[in-house]
Amino acid sequence: MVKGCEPNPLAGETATPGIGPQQKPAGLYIHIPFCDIRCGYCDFFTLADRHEQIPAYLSALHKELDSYAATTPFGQAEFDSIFLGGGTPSLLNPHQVDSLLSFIHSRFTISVDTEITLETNPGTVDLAKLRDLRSAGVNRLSLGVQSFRPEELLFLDRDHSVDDSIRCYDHARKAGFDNINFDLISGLPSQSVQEWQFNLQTTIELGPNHISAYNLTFEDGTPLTAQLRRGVFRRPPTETERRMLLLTVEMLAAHDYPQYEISNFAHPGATCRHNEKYWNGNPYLGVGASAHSYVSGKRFWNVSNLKAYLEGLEQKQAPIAGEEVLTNKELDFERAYLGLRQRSGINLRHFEAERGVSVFTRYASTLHKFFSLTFEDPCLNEAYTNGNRSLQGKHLCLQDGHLRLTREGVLVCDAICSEFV
Amino acid sequence: MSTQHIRNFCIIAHIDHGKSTLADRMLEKTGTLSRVNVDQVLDDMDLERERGITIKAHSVTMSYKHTAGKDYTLNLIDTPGHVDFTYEVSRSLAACEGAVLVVDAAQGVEAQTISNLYLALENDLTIIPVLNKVDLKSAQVEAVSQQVVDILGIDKSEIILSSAKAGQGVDEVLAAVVDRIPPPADNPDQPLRALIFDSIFDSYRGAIAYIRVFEGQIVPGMEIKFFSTGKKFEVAEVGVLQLDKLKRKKLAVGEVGYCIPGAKQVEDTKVGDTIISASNPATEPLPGYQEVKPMVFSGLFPTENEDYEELRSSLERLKLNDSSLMYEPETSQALGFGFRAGFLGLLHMEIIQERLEREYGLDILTTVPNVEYRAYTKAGELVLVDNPALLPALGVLDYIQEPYISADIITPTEYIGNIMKLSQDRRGIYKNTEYIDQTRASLHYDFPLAEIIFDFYDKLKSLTRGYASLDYHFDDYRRSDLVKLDIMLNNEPVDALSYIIHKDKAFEWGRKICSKLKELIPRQLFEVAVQAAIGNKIISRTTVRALRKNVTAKCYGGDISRKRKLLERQKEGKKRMKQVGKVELPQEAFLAVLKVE
Repeated sequence: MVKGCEPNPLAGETATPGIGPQQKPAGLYIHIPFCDIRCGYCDFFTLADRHEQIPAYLSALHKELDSYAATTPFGQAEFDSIFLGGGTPSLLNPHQVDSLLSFIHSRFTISVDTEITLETNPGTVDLAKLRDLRSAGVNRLSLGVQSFRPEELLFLDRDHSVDDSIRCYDHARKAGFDNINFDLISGLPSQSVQEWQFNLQTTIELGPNHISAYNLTFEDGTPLTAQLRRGVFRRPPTETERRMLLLTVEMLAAHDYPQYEISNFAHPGATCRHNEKYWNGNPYLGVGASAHSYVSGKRFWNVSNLKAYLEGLEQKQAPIAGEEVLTNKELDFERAYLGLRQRSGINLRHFEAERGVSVFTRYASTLHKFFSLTFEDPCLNEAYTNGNRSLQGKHLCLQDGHLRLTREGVLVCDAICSEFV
Repeated sequence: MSTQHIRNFCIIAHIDHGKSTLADRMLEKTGTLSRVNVDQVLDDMDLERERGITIKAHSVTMSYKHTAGKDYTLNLIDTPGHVDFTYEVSRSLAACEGAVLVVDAAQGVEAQTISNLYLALENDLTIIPVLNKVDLKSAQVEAVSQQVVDILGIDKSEIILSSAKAGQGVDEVLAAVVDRIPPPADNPDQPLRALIFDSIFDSYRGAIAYIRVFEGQIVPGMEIKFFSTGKKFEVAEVGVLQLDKLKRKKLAVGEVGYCIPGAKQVEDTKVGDTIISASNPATEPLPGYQEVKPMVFSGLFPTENEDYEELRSSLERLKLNDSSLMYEPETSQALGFGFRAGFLGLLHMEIIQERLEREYGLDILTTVPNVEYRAYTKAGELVLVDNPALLPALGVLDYIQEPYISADIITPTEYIGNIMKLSQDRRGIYKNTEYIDQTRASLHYDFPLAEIIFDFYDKLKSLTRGYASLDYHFDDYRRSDLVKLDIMLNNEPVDALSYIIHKDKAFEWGRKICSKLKELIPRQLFEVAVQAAIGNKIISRTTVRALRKNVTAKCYGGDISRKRKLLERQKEGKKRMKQVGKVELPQEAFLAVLKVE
């Protein structure tokens, strides 16, 4: 992503959604809400100091998984990614992970090369545990590193040290993990661009396969947001955030981590298969409290309450809190905005095949505006129908059958995406 | 029956001097209304109550037993209390023989006291001066009595002291209405002539005219004619008003009440018009009728283009009960299809705007109000310019005239300096000063109407700690050195932002408007150049920089719907703005001129 529109290794790889023999495999997400402490910025459903409930929760997960294994469409689906997220799933002991994964294999069709990710907090694992997790089948670790600066870890309420992160990474490599992600957070109050650069530099030197770099988001209802509103600290200036994002994209690309989604960077071949399912409209099943599922234009989600979740399954009731059936307009928009957030952009051929309308027809006036064209101008139509023609605007480019954000476009992605509503 | 038992009167006062409270107490004393009824019953529109002003005049008929034992019918005709409605006030006064002049004993004589008094005297009314709020600690009974004596040239003993709030002095006022105000002239045998002093629209009955019969009588079934339009109607019903309508067999000479002529719109029952008999028509109308002329104009556009038809039908319905509202279709390059509407004044404009939004649920965009200019071309042709976009091009234009008003400002003398400075800033032409007493003076100025329609009154109030009062009336059209200031966004002129202004003020205003627009236009995907120009000459320029960063991280399983909704909301926010070329303009931008300091 150094320049606007270089060819992308992923172009053409965009998946078609759905479930069935000739369709793309599904992803399985398992939410483990337990944490030792709750971080000030986190808005996921998490529980601190409730570890005694873990066994009961695992047995409820079994029940929930069982109910899906016995029914369409997920009972018939093929899965090729499993993601244990949280919370802190690395609080589970290797035996618990092993039996959970074995159970899943016994009930669902799981591909041979399935990506199995475990979110791991650096302070929760040692070399022996990592070896056991690897043996249990986990083949991808997502490490919640967040920062390599002690004061920043403190600000974020993280209960691990910089050394813990480095040691954990080292042990993970020793234990045989060859696919590791670092989560990093930028845009902390009073963080300078140089300080963020230090975090990136340290990461690059360690060399994980994948990097998720998030700009700190102030979510409603979190203690951090409450502090922000009380004026305890201030957000960094927009200009600083902009420079941080630009720096991230440039530095990581220079070290062979091209940006493949707004917040995600990976060595070629190391993109996260599970997350790509979310972005490409592929089916995914989420189990555990607060987990979301999606299949064939319908999204549904579980209760965000441990007691309700456990009791529901005890009484053989689905712990579902709500669902939405997406309208055609919403489906179009999700394809568009999730496509634009990815480096691969919107694959025009796939969009038309899937949505039954071309991007050109559906978003004609928006595209004319972004490319500063009048409606009489044949340019857009030519670039659309002829793969060899390209169109370059300030925010968008249309090239080899894909509509993508330019580098400037990435920086104002939300304002652009909202034009595709 | 003779007219000896009838008294027709109104109450005139400066705003907040206690007119409505006094009216309420009279209704109570005469048993027309018990004290439990809502205060200030004469104002029955929500908006009126909220703004604390009377917009539409109504009347009420009271039965009164005089201390001498005889029974009388007192017709109280209410008058609107804002300078926008001077003509309506004058027609209400014309329906009376007398006026109760209420002066706040603490505030003293104010501009509207005097302007209303002059209107009353022009109509040959008997004046009953009342000093209200005499129980206030701050009341200056002596000093204010002297002011009243000086302006009216009466004996101090004629002044009635009252506190309408406490009920004090109300009996004296009622007795004085009978004793001092003459009964209506008794002309029962002449052909019908009745004055319309107000009219309203009722969705079931159509137009309802409030009338005063001067000669003859009006009865249901009779064929009547409106003098100004010549239109004929058959009277469906007549009656008097005692808060509710009370049907009567007829309204005879000297009486005040309502008449339902079966007309479908108030346009047919014009305030000031004379009702005559169709079969035995009077040859002359009652004096004083004028066609209502709008003074302030502004564009009304639906925020959503598809609401145009709804705006049209809402305006049609508003017009049914507000004949002073004028409008015609207008097309703006920037705003699309809408209407150019004419109003009596800025308050009238705000009321219409609010009614469209509240009663009709419309989201509308108003452009900067302007007055009507007269442009003369070099070919000697006159062009009426109620919309800056209509001003002839510089090469064709010879000169422009603008409306002037003549203003009376009453102020404590210590603020005269402030007012003179403000008036100079507003191109005021000083005429003279009259001293009401040692502490208060009345300043007479001529102003271009354009200079006072926006914030002059607010400025005047703040410069004089709220003590000064203002009254004005249209004077004439005068030649002025005016130019059209155009605003351009990314080099495209935005017609709805054009503004006609005096040449000497154009540069500074251009600069201020550009910087105001820079404040009001949110950052967008593309840079926006804001320029002010006169003809081809750019006089000011600023730039709204493009958005620098607008992207949120994290978008996983549970975030996808949430993020979609956030983006949908972001789009909704943009929808409320008006798309002008590539630029999204918030509604406030169209009124930026009003916010320039």
